[in-house]
Amino acid sequence: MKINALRIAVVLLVATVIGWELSSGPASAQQQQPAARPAQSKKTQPKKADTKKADTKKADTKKAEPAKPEPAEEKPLPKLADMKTPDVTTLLQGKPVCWVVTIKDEVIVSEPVKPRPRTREQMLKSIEDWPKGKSPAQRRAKKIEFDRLHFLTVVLPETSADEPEYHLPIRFLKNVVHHEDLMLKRIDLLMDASDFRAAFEMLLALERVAPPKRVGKKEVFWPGYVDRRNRLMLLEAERKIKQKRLQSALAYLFDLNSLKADPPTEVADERYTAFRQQLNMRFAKAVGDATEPLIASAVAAGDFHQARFFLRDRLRALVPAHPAISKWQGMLESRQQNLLGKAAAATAASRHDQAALLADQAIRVWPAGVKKDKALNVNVIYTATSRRFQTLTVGVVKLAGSPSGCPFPTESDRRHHELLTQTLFHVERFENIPYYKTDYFERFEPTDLGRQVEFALRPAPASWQAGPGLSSAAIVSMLSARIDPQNRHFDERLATFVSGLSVRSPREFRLRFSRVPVSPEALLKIPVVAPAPADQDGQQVLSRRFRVHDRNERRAVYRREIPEPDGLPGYHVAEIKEIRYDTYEKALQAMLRGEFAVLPRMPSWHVETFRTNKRLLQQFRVLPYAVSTTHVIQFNPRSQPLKNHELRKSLAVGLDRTRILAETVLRDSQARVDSKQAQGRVISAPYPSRSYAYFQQNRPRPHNPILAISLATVAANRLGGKVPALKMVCSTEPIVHAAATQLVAQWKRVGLEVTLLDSAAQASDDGTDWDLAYRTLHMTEPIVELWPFLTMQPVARVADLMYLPDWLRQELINLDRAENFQLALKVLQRLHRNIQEQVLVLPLWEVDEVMVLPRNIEGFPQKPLSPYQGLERWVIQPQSPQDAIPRVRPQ
Amino acid sequence: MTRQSSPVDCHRPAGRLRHVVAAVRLAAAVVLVIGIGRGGLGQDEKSSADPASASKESAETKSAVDGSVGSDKTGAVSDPEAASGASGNKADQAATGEATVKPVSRPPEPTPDRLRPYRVLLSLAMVSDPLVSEKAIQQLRRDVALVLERTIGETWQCEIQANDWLLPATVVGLDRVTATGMLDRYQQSHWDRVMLVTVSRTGTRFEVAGRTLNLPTRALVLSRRRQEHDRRGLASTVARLARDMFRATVHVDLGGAKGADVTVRAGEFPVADPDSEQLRVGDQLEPFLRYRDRKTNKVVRVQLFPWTYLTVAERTRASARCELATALRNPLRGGGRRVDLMAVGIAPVLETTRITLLPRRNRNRPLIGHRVVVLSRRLTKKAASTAAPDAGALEADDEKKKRAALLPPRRLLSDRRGRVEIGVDEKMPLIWMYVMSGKSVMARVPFVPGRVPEIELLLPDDATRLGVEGQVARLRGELIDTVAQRAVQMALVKKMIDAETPDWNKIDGYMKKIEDLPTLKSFQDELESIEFPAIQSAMKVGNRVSAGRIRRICNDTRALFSRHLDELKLIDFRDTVKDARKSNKVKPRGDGN
Repeated sequence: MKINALRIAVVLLVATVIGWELSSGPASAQQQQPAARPAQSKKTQPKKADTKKADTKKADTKKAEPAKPEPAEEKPLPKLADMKTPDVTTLLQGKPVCWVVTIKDEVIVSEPVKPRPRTREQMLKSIEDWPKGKSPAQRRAKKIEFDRLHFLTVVLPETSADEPEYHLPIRFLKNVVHHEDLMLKRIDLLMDASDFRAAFEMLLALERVAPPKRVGKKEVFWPGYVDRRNRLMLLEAERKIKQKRLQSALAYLFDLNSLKADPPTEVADERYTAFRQQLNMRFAKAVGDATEPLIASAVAAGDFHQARFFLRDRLRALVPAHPAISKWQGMLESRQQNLLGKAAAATAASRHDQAALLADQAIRVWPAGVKKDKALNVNVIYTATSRRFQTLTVGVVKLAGSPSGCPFPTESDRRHHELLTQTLFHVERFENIPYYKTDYFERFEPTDLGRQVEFALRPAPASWQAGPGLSSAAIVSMLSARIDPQNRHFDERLATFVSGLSVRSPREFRLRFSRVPVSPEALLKIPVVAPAPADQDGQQVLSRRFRVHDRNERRAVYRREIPEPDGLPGYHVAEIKEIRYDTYEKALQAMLRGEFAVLPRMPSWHVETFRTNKRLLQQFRVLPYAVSTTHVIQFNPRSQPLKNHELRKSLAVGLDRTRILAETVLRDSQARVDSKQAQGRVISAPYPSRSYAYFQQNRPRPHNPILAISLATVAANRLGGKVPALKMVCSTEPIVHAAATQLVAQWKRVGLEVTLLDSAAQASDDGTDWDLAYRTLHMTEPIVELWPFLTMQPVARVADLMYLPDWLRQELINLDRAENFQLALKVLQRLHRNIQEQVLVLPLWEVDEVMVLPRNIEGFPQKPLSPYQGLERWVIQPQSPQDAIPRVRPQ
Repeated sequence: MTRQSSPVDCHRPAGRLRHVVAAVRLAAAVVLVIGIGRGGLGQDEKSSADPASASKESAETKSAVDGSVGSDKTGAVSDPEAASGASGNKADQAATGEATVKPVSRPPEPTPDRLRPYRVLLSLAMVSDPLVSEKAIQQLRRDVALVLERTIGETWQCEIQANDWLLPATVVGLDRVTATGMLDRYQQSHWDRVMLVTVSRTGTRFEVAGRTLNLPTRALVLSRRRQEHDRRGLASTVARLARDMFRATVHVDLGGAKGADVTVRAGEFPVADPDSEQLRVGDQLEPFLRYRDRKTNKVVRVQLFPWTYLTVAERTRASARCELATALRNPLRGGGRRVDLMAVGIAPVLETTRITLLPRRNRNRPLIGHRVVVLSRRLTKKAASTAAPDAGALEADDEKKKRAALLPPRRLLSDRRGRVEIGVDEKMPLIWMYVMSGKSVMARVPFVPGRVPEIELLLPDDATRLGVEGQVARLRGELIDTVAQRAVQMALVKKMIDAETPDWNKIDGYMKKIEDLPTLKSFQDELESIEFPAIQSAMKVGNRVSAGRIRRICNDTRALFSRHLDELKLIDFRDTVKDARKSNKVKPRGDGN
């Protein structure tokens, strides 16, 4: 009690002093602002020079008069109008203070007071809320406490008084400008000066200093915080718009959109009241200013997907009723209708390719229907035209038929040839041995123990067949040319087997064998060609599938040789459009965006993602190929250094194939540990490990760098003292190229210099400028294909075997002359061992590859041998283009 | 008739011998004349023909090669050139059998070959047409005769007859003519050469073709063709054709292993035109044997020597010295009382000849993909095996140098029908062909291409030996691997032993790797598993040559294994390691060394 009375007395004394002070006029009020550091303020706030100069002067004044203590009662308190908002540094680094504003607008700078914020209101409220219903005795007992409510405890910062605490009666209190309010003031000043970065910094600091309180489900920020925040976001967005950084502006606007959904509840000052009123308008304007140019540029670039994205997922998401929406939507809809009209006209004129293209463009411009009278239904037209003329879009890293500069067929070459030509027989499936099929013959019967075969052609080509039908005369003529030694297309292997041909009817012919081949179908896996017209060179292919329709650097278009006629109950793929991408990653991204449908080859490290991701599985199918892709290094038969056996062996043992396969080709560390589970494995022959010709007892040669060095030394001695630098050519396919680079690096470690040629530029056509070739292949029938593979020629000619040792040459000839499959297998077993021992070829590894295609495609084989197998029978169900980028989730 | 068995310098002895021969002939003639005087005059030069066995087309000559004489050409024919000293006169004398006894006169001395001209019949077939009258044809005949007389001179006794039986009278008709048909027509005649020549007109151009029947050898040569655009030069063209078709006949006086001395028939007669010489240096001749009947002295059989040729090295009028090129062993040992060793000139007609390589035991399976090396001269088999080495074969430096000294060889590969095509090279009319099989030479034969379109060459079956060669090559490759790995591991062990603190665990690891490598015994076992079945297979078919070669290859390989996988060295090495280990254990630690 006594202490309390003492305290009250002190407060009264202070009040008196204050009153004297006030009456004495303005004094060096800055002396009571210990937070104002003139030196620091000069550094951090160059814009506040005037204030700082004043501060500096005052500080200097303060400094100039440090030793002269003035009686406290003589210093007048500063006026609120004279008070300067502290600078950023002071606010962030200095001691927090607050301004206690008296009824005379005098400011007492004190340490932060409580309650806060809205100190006076809260004090009045607590006074008001004081329970009155209590008994007088209770009220007397609590009177001190109650009285205490009428005083604001003020603690002067950095005072030398023993008791720096003072109590200011509420009746003298007008307002308290808290530290946070000072920060808000500073933020306002910063925003006015367009220093948004500092303003953001202050705002974040304010949020740290005064974190929001959770009231129910809402977060309550410091009064004024939300307005400043919103204003700052808006100003930032507007500035970005001015700077043409529209996407950045949209980011701010999106954030602002979610923030402004929860408006502040406290009463704002006049300035921010106006701001609140204008916020939505300004927001809408900013959104329009940010998105319209983006939409316009997307439309101008023809990227309607992007235009729709900005229109729907940006403009409409932010301002659903923006007038620009209807403007742009109307434009897109009218364009769609225009295209649909043209598509309908093209359909009527039976130009189905054009109709499908126009309908596709229409649906890509605007995929939704148009709610207008007599509006054309985009889905109906699109479905009808797409079904009639089906285009298969394929994403590749190298276009089919583009020059590779390699002396051997690459993957793109194989695709190209597969599209253009059909052989009399082709491999339909592969399960250890190949199974053949023919699209031309209705039946073929071997008679006379296989020495004679009667062929009967189909009466008419099937409706789904892409190429023209054939007659027996054309086939027999082609075969006759191939067995004629004087003909430049003479196939000596075929000529050895075929002793006679005869045409029985336009649909039937007979073929007589002088020697029964092990696999007649493999022998007849040839296209049907005829001599070109007299004014042209070369020859024309009669057994055609598709033809090149259009080609440029980025795409190649192939179409059916013979379009399907009208009036059929169902239609199939009519066009293949290959689109080139620089890398597999870009191709994958494009596929997910819906730019194309089929990805024929994919890096192995992405396969698992497609197999496990649910969303991708809903959209795509992953088809494993029936035959693994074999990677080999082939030696140029004309290369002089590589005739040396020790050098070839050194190249073979100097490679750690397991490592390169695991790290570069598959990017799967498991491949080094468990090859059975991996998608690739090291091999010892140039054909698949599942092939009948592959003998598992012949293990791949292990990596032995020391032996490689030793053999290289021996080779060097034989080659005149030094192994010459070798040149290797390979395809530009990214994975192959990366693997080839690793091979070169490993050879270098064992002292063998190999240079990787840029095949397109440096390799010559006559095959003399390279020593090694990295190639990929799919050998399904080694009995027939091994010989041309070793000689790097399209046909098996004895003359091409000149470079081989006699005994090995005879083994190949024995394989060709094998009378039955068992004998051929025995020869193959010896050949496998000899090829490995002699290192005629350096098999690297095989990779189990997959093809990815969308689920709206039907009619494909379950385990294809090639990307376009049975393409004539594929059916693409019409499907609207999916916008792959997810929609903005509503807050 | 002499029989020569060893090569000698025949030039001077041959001259003396000629005199001896002439004297003997003279004596024989005297005896015969006496005999004739007792039993009738004259020698019927058109003696009745013995039944002729089938004679073969010269274009279908087939022979076998294996150091022995191949199949014979048989044919019992009559010989217009009876060795009884018939004169060169056209004799149509038949024994008249007159009862009157005429006084015995000394028979004329037989004309020596070198003075005996050829009796040549040129049968000219030319069909008249509005632009070519009979008169013109006759004039042509006369002109041709005149040209021949002026150019050939006395070497020939030539008669030009009109041919009225050849149909059509063109090259087509010529190509249809067979040797049998020609022999039937002219066999009984006295002609030495019968030349069928056709002249046909195509517009203003004359197609001249000719074909020769060589009666001594009973061979019908392939046709030659010419074109003439100027009627006035037709006679010269025909005459030139006749000259080009003609090939000399020589008698081998002295034959050796490397050469022979021959007498050129009608060689003493000079020719007016030097280009019309019947035999020049560098010309090729094909020797043959003529067998005569013991009683009638008629030629009963003609036998050609396969893969045997004579090349004229030098010539002096009727005498010539020739070099022998043959695949046989000393073939010119023939000749005797009733056997004439002769040779006839040959020349290419075609541009190429196809040679089919066939195994002797199975002609249905031609030898595909076999290397044929064509060289200009004969080499030993060993030299030949390195003259055009197999791809990737290892060569010693001296072999490389020898090879560099030779002309670059032509390397051919037999196609799927076992054929190689040998083209005619004017600079190399006679070539040597080497049929290679791995490192060994299957056949080494001389050949003059261009005379026949196709010919077969029978060869021994070398498949087994070649297979062994391949397997041995593989084994040798494994040997290189093993030797290299062993050397590397041993070097590593030595290096580790020499270190201050040897890591014996690692050393043990390397030693284990050395022990795990294939040993000498394993290589030998594998070699034996290759050798034994191969030899059995070769002996089963009686191919002892192949079996011998297989043994040789395997023995060489065995020696190689022993040389490089010397077990003693390995034992020594193990002992070294053992000693080093012991000394390392004994060595006190921390001795500061």
